[in-house]
Amino acid sequence: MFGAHVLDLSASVAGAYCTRSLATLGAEVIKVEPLAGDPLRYAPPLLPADAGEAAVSATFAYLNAYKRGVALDIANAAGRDALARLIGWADAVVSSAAGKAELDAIGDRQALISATNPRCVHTVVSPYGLSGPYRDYEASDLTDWAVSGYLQMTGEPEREPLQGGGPWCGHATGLTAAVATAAALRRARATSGGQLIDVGAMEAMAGLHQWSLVLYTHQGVVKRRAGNRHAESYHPLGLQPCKDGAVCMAVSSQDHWERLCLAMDRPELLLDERFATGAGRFDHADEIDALIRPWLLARTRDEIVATLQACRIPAASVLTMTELLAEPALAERGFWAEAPIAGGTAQLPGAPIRLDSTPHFRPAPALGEHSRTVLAALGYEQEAVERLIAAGVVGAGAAPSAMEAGS
Amino acid sequence: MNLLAGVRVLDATVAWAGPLAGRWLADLGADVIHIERATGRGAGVAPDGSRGNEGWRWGELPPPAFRSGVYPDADPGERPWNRQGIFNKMNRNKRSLCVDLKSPAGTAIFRDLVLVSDVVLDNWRPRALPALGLGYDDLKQINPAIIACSLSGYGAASRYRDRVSLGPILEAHAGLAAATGYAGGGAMKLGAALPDAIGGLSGALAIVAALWNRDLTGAGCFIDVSQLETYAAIGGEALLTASLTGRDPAPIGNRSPAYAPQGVYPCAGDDEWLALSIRTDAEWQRLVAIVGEQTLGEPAWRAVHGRAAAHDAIDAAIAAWTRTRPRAQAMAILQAAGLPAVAVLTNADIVADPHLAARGFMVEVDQADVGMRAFPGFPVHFSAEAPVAVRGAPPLGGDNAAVVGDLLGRDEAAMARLEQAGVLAQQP
Repeated sequence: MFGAHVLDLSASVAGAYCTRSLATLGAEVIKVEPLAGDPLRYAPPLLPADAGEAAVSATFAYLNAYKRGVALDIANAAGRDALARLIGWADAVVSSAAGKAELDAIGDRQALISATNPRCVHTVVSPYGLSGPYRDYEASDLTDWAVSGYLQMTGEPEREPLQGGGPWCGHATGLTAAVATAAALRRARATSGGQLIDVGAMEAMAGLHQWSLVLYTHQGVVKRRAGNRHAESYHPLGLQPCKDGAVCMAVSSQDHWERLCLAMDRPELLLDERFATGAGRFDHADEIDALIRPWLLARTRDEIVATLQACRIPAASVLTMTELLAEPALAERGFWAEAPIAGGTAQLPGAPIRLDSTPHFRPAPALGEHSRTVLAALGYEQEAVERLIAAGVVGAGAAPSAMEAGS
Repeated sequence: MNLLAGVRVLDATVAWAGPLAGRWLADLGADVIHIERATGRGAGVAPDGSRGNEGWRWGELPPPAFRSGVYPDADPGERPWNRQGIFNKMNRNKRSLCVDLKSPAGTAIFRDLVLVSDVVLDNWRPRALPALGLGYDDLKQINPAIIACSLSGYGAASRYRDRVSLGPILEAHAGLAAATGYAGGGAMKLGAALPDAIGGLSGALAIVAALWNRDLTGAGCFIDVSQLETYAAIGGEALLTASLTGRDPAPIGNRSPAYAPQGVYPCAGDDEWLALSIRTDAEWQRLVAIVGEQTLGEPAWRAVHGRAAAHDAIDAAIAAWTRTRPRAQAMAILQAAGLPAVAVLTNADIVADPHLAARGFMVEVDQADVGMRAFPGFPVHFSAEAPVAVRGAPPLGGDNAAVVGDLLGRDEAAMARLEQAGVLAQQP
């Protein structure tokens, strides 16, 4: 997104992933943080840093790559003036809000944006959206999973429901907000009209279910947990143990089942009435497991995946993060970035979508790292910037280096 | 909704991720033409086009019984290919062109459409369109400004380009299944796969960004989106951490890496639960005031380290309080104290949820061969756009005449010949 200016005023995974997504497509993103820093700077996982230095949040470092950073006290009048100038620069502002106080403050911010820059798009990500009975409710990563229906469906049937292994509702909501923002930006360029975009995580996530909701509206079925099986029909479709770990396989059609039986050299199973339909295979999943596990446990992940993919049955190894980092297919495609973080050389996803406008990787900013250059570009005299820094209105990390001054 | 008004998309997609990308563009106002094979409409149509598919046991199964398709009242009806709820959810607001792309006349129609379109979106295997002479190199000869987006499991330029995948496969491959699970347990897949959802949104985002760029440069492009990559990217902070520490995150069940306690607690009723997070010491004090000093009053628990160390005991005390209460009541009591506590909602709860209803989330849609059914609507609200009007998914080939006749200008005799030859169809 050549030339798009995005101002990130958010303090959530959803907001940060929204602007990261836009930045990786070429938008110029300036992240504004309070002088104490974005709360995500303190979010786990925390990386042990060199002696005497604060731990670094991997969450912040990942989500804010590709952005420049300004630290600003917007409660102060001079800080608010700088914020207005930043809004004047922006084509889109991304905010986050959670809980009554922050949601109430969104109205003021929208008024400031409308008054300062009426062509500016303002995207607000929040747990429940800007209206409705739950608007002011409190939320967490766990409650996002819970209210959007994922929690109830995940985990073993006889145990408590289970959340996903990370704050991924935030990422998915942020990606949703990025699509909406990009479309509104393009429209605003044609019409010179900005607008407010309201993205709630509950609604965004509920909107991403494949069939759970239509399953209920069409057939009245309440979905239940099925562990590592595919609920309601088909088997094996899910995780299975093998010789050196686990694989995921998806026998999701009659063809797949027939090819699996042949691949295992068990053609007689094709004649077994119990397994003749997807429904029957699910109903007799324990029996199928007993039949296929010896074959699986005698083979490695790679052997199984090669065999199944060769007969066009979807299959992959269950990889850990460290194994994925070593996956050659991703390195070959230029998926990874490398950056010095917390005293080491980190490997992290760069741009997941790569266009001509995708920029080179830029590490997440130190707090206030680009305050001087950004304010100078907005027309502030150098002395005025230094006064704001001395007055504690602007945070600016270290003094400008020759390299930064030239960038 | 006019954000993408004037944009035409050829949506040659199947299953989930591709149709979702196209649906987002359609919801945002683009003219999206869903290109289908007569026999390839998702799980509702058997490979040979017959109705003798394995899903047809409906009537014999005791409810609840979703098996191989989602049909209104579990009845595939006379034209099941138009009644499949999963398809209809993913393809609303589109037009349907049912064309045999393996015939020369079919590829000619596709090529003519490329001339009057902005975007070609596909999630077939990366080699499929090129094999038909419809790869990006072919398309840009026809229309240099065309934007072609290939949304495959592993990427068009990948050692795995010929692999087949589904959502749970990519969840496993991306390292995110291994990061999910009960404490001390193994990897666990999500109950509703996310990779296709993330892949579909990513495809839509890539296309909108490419349109933005094309507005400036006039140049089309080829976008090679890998769903494995778009999904692995949502685990970025864990990958970054693993790269520096050499260690993998261990599943922690429903707990939080940042605060304690956090959990999913049983409520009154069958399989009814409350999700609760206590993020600060102040929130803990408010919880203690509600649940009781008697069970939660331990002084060491006033600080997060003490709570983390005694998490099991705290969980038991909280569960003793929740177990006697309906989840809605527990939620109301705790939220009134400013605590993030919510009922764990089922799919049925979401359909009936008063908050989502107030936001207009579920919408009633009337469509051919189906009648009125509720579907999830569009989840984003724009202040300067009319709400997304949901037009039901098109019947198979329902727009053949409008697309090939009106848009491409083939006359009635030509249309009749195409139908006669089986190049165009409206049923398997």
